[in-house]
Amino acid sequence: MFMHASAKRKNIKYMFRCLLLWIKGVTEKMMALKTGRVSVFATEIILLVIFMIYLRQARKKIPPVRNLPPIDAIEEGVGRCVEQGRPVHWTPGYGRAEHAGGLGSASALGLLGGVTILGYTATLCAQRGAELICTFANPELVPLATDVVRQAYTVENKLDDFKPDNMIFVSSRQFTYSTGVLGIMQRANIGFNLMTGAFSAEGLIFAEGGNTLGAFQVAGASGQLEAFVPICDYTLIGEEFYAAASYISGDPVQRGTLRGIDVFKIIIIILMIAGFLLQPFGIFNFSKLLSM
Amino acid sequence: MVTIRKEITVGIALVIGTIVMLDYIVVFDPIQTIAKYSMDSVVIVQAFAYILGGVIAARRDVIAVIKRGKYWFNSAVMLVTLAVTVIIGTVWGFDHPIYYILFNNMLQPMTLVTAGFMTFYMASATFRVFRAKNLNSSVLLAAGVLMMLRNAPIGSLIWPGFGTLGNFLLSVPQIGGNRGVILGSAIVSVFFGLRVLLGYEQRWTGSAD
Repeated sequence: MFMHASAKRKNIKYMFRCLLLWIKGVTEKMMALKTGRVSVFATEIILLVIFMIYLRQARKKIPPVRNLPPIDAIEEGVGRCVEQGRPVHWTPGYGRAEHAGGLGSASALGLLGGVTILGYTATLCAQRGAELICTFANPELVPLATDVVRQAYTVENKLDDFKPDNMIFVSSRQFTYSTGVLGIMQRANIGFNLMTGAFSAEGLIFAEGGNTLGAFQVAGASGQLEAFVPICDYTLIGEEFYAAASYISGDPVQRGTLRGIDVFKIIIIILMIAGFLLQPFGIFNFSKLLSM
Repeated sequence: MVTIRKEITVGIALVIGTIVMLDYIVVFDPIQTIAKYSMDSVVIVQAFAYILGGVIAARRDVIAVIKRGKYWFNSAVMLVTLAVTVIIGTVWGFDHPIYYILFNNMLQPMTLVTAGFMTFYMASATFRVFRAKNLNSSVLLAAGVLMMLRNAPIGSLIWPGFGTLGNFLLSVPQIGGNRGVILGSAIVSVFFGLRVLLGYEQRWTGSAD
């Protein structure tokens, strides 16, 4: 009460430093970094810092982001379905076969990315009156996707058009799922086949099945590009699939975080070139640094 | 109500995601315990999800049979097979001869047949795609022909160099390009994961934002 303001601030800073030192001492005694994971930890911190920096920067000035034609093509596909009176079909895939397990596996990010694009597609279908059919191989994704689609129809005041029976769990076995989805696609005579998620071998079957029906096809996955790129009309290749979530949000600040991704890629490329040039001559051991 | 549910969902994802991420990096018993509990919970949720999936699949077929739609017979067969498999598997276990017949002598061959479809789909896709319409497709055609000659025995009879050239294509440009795509996907997927954990990506919670 009787301290000068600057003295109070110094006191608070001193107390904060003591607290940090105490936490540091306690954590050093109680926990340690796992061997070989220090570089991972450092990478995650750098990623988080870059993400936050570009999120703040995007609030002041929005950086330009190039168009993603496959996302624009979704609107075209839904429009075609409305004109032709055929339904839209969406499927997220089985997940990568080497780690099948749906949302509890390493395919989870791909499946979530697919659900994000489903939400955008459902909004378009609700706006334009196109029927949407969704097929699943992972049952835990069904209530998630149903909620996303229902919410999209609710926001557009078209809840009466939402058909829960169109959210179809087929099978959790890969080729049973493939056969079931093929049958659904053919019986419904789909006009637009949207495949966004995590695919393995069934991606080729769906793409070729959709092509047989003359459907407009857009695919997005981090794998199975060899099946999608030659067959589908538009493909979100690799990083475009995950960046699509930021692009779809429409929020310029979200789109601005894509600049952070490019900056981190530049850092990685610089490290690669530096390692390629320096390590063979024994100047700096990059591989030892990155395997800490 | 949706807003409250959304914030709880995002909060749970942030806390559990951070703990599981920390468990990968640090050795700390409380974090390890919570992370292990979380991963075990995922397995339990998945088990219940499979029950939910069976109910969803059966419900759809029951409605199709009741309404006597165009393909109601397929739905009836599915329901009968589902019931028989569940009853036999539950009552007599997986070692029962009928269960063995259903799984190994019916389901597995049908699965392999579907996997065999891929050969024909690959062939039809190849026939349609490998056309020299422009420079890119011509390069794709040339690479495809080279790889076919590398793999087929007749290729080595025509010219032994097809094997060397094909191996070079597989081991240098193909791996280089593949790694570039994988690297880009990996970096962006980490950013996407960060967006999900920090709550910037909320469509999966049912929010239309």
